[in-house]
Amino acid sequence: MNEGEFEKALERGFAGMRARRGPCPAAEKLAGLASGELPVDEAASIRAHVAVCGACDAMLVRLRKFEEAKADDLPVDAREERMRAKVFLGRRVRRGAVAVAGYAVAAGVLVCGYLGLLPRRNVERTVPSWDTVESIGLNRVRGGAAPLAAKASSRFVILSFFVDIRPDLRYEAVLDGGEAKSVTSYDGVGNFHLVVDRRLLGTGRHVLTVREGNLRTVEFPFEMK
Amino acid sequence: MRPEDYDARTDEELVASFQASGSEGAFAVLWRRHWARIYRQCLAFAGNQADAEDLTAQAFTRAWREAHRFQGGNFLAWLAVIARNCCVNHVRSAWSRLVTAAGDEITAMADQQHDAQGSQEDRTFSAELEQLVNQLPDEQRVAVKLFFIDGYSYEQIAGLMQCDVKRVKSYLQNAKRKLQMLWFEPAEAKGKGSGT
Repeated sequence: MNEGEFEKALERGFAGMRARRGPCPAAEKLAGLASGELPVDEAASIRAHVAVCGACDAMLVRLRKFEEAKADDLPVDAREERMRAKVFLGRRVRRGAVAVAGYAVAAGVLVCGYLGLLPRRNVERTVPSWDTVESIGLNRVRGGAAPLAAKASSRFVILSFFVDIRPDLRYEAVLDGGEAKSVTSYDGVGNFHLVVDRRLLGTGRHVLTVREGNLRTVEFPFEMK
Repeated sequence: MRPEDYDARTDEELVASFQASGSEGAFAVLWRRHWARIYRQCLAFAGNQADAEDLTAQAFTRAWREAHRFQGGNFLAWLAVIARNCCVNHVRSAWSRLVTAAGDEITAMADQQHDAQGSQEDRTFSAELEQLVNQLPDEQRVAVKLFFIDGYSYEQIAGLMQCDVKRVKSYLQNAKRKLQMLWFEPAEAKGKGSGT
């Protein structure tokens, strides 16, 4: 086989590997393989899958590094106080804040109810047609790398983004330093959707800032065509 | 137990004390003893300081919340499993959109090329190629599999591997060159071992 034939054969070879792949094992099995805790037979079958699966191989590489770091005794360079605050201080603040917020909301609802200010259910709302809503995914790692496009006919744009959340904290999103909007992860894991008016996303650079309580902010810089 | 006594206690005694009274002092000692080790492991996994700090805090917070489930044994090993799960979930969440998006394309690619898998010669070549691919260095091997087998785009791989597109292209180019070199090496030099 010469070099030109080899190039073509590569494609067929990779297709063959793809065909042998089968379903991915659970992450626990990969972790077991990385730590050497799997029985020999099972380890061999997981290894055979990893040999033809990029996603599992990538995860296994990371899990091996995790295991290897056990033996490492080198001092670490990290902001320990920041982590400690998240674990300890965050809890105390949250406990207090939740109690205060709970009483405040209950009191507010009672007063509004008494004064007849609570919203009525049958209020008509204008719901945009789906033709006029567009979805754009933001990625912190690749943020701003390539300009994003939204159709001129879109009235609203759904910005989708991911923040590694803690379920008991409150999150706010701010577009270009504007008004802060409270946001909630729709899957409880950290994936968010934020609906914004298309007119706010003019040509040029924008930044979506997500605030995690008072602990940290995560920025998603991006550019619109 | 007075707070000053905590330092003299074993991990397991501290957890028992925390389970019984919710004593923050007991948990603070566990934190002091183990945060650096857990952080080091999270850093090795995540590859960057910011994520490692978040994952460490997340692991301890989860351990705090789930301490009642600890049923004795080695506390640090239990904590390390929690940290590992946090790491895996973190990566999965970040990958989930990319994986879902590519899933349909991969199936389509597999269907399209199903007929091309027929000949014995192709199967033999594919098996030999698998051996060669698994001799590549970690980054090249993962990039090759994600691109040629899993069907991800350069941009998606950059996201998965936390590097830029230029780096991904360089991994792929070097990997192809190395595969070619390995293939045209004398037969006895091939198949020295597997990278996975």
